[in-house]
Amino acid sequence: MLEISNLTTHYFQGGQVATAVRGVSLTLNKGLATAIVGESGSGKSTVAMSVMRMIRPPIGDIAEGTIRVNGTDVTAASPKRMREILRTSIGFVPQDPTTALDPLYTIRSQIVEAMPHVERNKRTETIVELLTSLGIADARDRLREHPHQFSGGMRQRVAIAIALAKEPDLLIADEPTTALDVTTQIGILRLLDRLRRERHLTTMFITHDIRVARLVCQDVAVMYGGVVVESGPLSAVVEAPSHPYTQALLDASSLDVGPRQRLRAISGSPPTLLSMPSGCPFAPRCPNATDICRSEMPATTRKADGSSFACWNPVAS
Amino acid sequence: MSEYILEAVDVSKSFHGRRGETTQALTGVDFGVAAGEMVGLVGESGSGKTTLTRILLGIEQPTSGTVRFRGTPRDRFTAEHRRDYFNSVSAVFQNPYSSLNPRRRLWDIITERRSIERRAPKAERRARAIELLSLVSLPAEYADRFPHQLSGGQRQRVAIARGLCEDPDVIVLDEPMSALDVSVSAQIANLLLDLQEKFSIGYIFVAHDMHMVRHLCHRVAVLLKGQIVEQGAVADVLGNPRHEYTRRLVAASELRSLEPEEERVHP
Ligand SMILES: Nc1ncnc2c1ncn2[C@@H]1O[C@H](COP(=O)(O)OP(=O)(O)O)[C@@H](O)[C@H]1O
Ligand SMILES: Nc1ncnc2c1ncn2[C@@H]1O[C@H](COP(=O)(O)OP(=O)(O)O)[C@@H](O)[C@H]1O
Ligand code: SF4
Ligand SMILES: [Mg+2]
Ligand SMILES: [Mg+2]
Repeated sequence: MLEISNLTTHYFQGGQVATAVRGVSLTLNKGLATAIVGESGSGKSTVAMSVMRMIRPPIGDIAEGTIRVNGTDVTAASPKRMREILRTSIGFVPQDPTTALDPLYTIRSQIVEAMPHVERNKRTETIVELLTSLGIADARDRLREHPHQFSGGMRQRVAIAIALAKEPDLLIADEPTTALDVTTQIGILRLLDRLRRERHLTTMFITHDIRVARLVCQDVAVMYGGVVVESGPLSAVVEAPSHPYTQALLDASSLDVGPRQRLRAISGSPPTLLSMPSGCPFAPRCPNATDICRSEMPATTRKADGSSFACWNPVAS
Repeated sequence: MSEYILEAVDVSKSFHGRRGETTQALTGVDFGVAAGEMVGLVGESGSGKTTLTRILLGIEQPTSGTVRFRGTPRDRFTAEHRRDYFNSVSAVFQNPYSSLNPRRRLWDIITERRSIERRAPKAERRARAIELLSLVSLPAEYADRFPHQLSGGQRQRVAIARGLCEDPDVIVLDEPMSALDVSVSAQIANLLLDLQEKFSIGYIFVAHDMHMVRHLCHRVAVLLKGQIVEQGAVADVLGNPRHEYTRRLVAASELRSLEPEEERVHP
């Protein structure tokens, strides 16, 4: 469905070229949700924006690699073909729904714009059905309302409705629940999970929270410093992580240390693009680091459980 | 006399809107914090958490009820009480991106209180800023940086350093981790525990995520539509919630499964 191979994406910052994503390869299986997990600055959003060709000069550019959406390489697509793909095949749900919604237009007119394929006289019915299925009560009465009349959780449901109105094959959700409170979050997660199952929607789910990923995703790619450090079936990766960074993320979100005991936080912070270490990007924070880590990028190892990782000194199993 | 340093006694608050409508944000709330204690204040968004903390901080006035500091109600404060209250109660807010003035250097931000209260000389403020940076594990060189040069987690450390400036007895933390990554949240949680151990500060920890509350807090109060529906030791309230609403918050925070306990229609 989505096949990213050897993707490298640059940003142009004040005359310098900064590499945000380096040699990322990732396949999203049809009808499954794949989590992209990592701390902020790891390159997760850059991968998503590369798929949608939203990174173009003068901001940056895709330097290398191919991205196939249903077989079409979007890195080689003409602007016209790309608009077509975005209009019909890819739905996007951003972290902050207000960026997806225009405050000046009614909810109805914003959703209509995304469904040119639906016959004029069926549009209202289709929208009401869609909004109702997304958990918006009294959808019919709310069509003429503006975004500010909706709560945060409801605005995110409207943003999801816009993304789904085109009946996409691929849904990209970038931290869709990070700005919401916990009870609203769980509702949106349930909704995304149901949509994936019912519509066989291939989903790219970006999150910094591996606990959230566990709930809604079947596959995972863990990113750090612009590279995928470990990937595969989520249950395999979470139950037997090989990469020290995956282990560290799991440790940091686990509270099994006892009340008010110190959490196993990852010390230090992720590298910036202009201070990227040569060799393994995690080396400055890694408990297993040795000399080779600091000079050479680790090779990728495949495991019997279907996952793979890039590390010289993996976590002992 | 209660052992609370800072407390709200039977506090209610209503807001009057432009079109004459009123919002009852708080109703009869009793809530306080003792020295060295961490109290959670939890509830869905709109339940009144921020309003209660703003009243405790003196930013907002209650419609009825009072705030007491070291046992003295606010309306009986002398100039001495007022100074003590101003110096001893501070706050850290949710968004480390908007809560720090982008045009000021960190030393200036961190020691802001000292300039307001005593017009302290610059050399004294810089020296204090460097002490405070070290308390929150940031290097001294950061004193001359601007907020935009820092990551979200580093900014939240700066906000905590600012909160510590006058050796407070109480810090109100209004969702201090909800804009941060999980891994950074863990660092901030550890920092808060370290500081509490060192200075026995009372923390009011506002959150919608019970996960961290359960880990960090001694006690917790659950707000629903401006009323406290449950309050007590964390192990009792979260371990054995009596109120359906608390149960729902706990379940949503645990992120154990997606199974709906019941299909809810959203208002
Ligand atoms: N427009 C931009 N110009 C320059 N650098 C950028 C830009 N957007 C993101 N970056 C940098 O690229 C890196 C990856 O960012 P991003 O993909 O947003 O990470 P994530 O989504 O994992 O937080 C970060 O170091 C970030 O600072
Ligand atoms: N300045 C204000 N004017 C009018 N209504 C307000 C004001 N501040 C808060 N409210 C209302 O009071 C209620 C509680 O809000 P708040 O204390 O911010 O809740 P929380 O912090 O739990 O999300 C909400 O209904 C909110 O809209
Ligand atoms: S390659 Fe080396 S530094 Fe990188 S994660 Fe593995 S052990 Fe750590
Ligand atoms: Mg991002
Ligand atoms: Mg609030």
